[in-house]
Amino acid sequence: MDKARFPQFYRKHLTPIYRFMYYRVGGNAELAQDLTQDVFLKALEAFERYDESVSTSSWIYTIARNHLITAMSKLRPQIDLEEIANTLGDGINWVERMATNDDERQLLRAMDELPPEDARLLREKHLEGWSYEEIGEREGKSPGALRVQAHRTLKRLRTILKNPKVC
Amino acid sequence: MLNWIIERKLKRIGKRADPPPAFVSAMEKRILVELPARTPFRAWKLAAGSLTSASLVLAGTGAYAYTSEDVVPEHPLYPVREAIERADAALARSPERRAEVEVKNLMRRLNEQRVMERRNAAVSPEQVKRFEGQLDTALQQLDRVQTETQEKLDRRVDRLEKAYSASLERLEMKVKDEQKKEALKKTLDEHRERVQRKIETLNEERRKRFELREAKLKRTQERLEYIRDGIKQPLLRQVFIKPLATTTTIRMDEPTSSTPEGSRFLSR
Repeated sequence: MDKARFPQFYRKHLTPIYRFMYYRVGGNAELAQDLTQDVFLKALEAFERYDESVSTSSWIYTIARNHLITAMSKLRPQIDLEEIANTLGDGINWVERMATNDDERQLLRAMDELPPEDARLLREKHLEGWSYEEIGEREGKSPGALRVQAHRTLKRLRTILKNPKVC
Repeated sequence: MLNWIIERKLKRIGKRADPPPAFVSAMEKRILVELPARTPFRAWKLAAGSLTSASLVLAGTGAYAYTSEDVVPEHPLYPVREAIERADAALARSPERRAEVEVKNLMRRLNEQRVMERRNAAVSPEQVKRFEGQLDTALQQLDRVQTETQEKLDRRVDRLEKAYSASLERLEMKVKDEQKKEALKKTLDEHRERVQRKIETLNEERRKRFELREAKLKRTQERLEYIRDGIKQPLLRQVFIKPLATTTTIRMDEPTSSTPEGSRFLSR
């Protein structure tokens, strides 16, 4: 695609890519900014090869995912690479950094009890801000199927919230 | 709690992870700087370049000027050749292609010099400076391309420059007239000195860029270490802290100038 159209592309994808990085680096805003910047500069270099008709967001998502994996694996060569990109930094760090209230903290803990695939869908949709179409493109699922899955997951989350585990 | 209430809460949490406005605008400025200039002037230049190139090459004169070995500096058709080369460069869209065009033009200067050498023709200092000017342009373009292409073209430029100097030296040996010989020797010495200075400046600039990149990587590594130390959650410990015994250092690209064939322009 013509590089002149890159600014529009950047504006559209900046927030989800930044959030993707933010949650996976434990809420460290500075590092998330560095990684996001690198991702978009890489994307700009290769933008001529990008075809919007083939993918809307999976292209930039793949660049971000690979960049994150490279950055993390430099620190820890034996790390499970899939885990880095698929696991949200859903630990204490970013929850505390984001100054969440008790209610929200309870909600995030309840999300940890969901099956990983369902939790991931909620995170991508509601925390990172991807659309069902974009998630579906990456996962090879229809937006409709994802909507149904999200609805069922939210119901399950409600049940978990009603009956919290006693630690 | 209803589904939509949970959704709203999650979205609210998500919004707190929005990029800071200062970062968004700084990033946008950075992207605008990195974007190739797409002004109306550039579009006009491209159109004019295409037209000039096409009309000149299609015309027999243009084709002759562009390809013939007889067309060397001082030849009446030499300016036509230069115009076609400029149009060629204007038409190159990617930095890689532009660098290749510049290296190709440098190759043409070398071929012209070899023709002059065969004819024992006098070489003017302006001509040598023109070669140096193109060497400069080629090196500037090389700094904008990917590492792999850069290394390949860097070595080519290095070989071209050495061949050009060697041709001037041979010409100097052939010239009988003492006065001309002296003038050529002076030109050659000045050329060597300027190229040497150019190499030193270029290497210094590349070294600085290399150090900047290294400092940035180091900063990133420190931040990652900081995150690792801050992780307390068992799940995250599993993901991030499992291989505690291993320490990693970020490895930088090895300079390629250490190889015997390495270019002088590559040493960092």
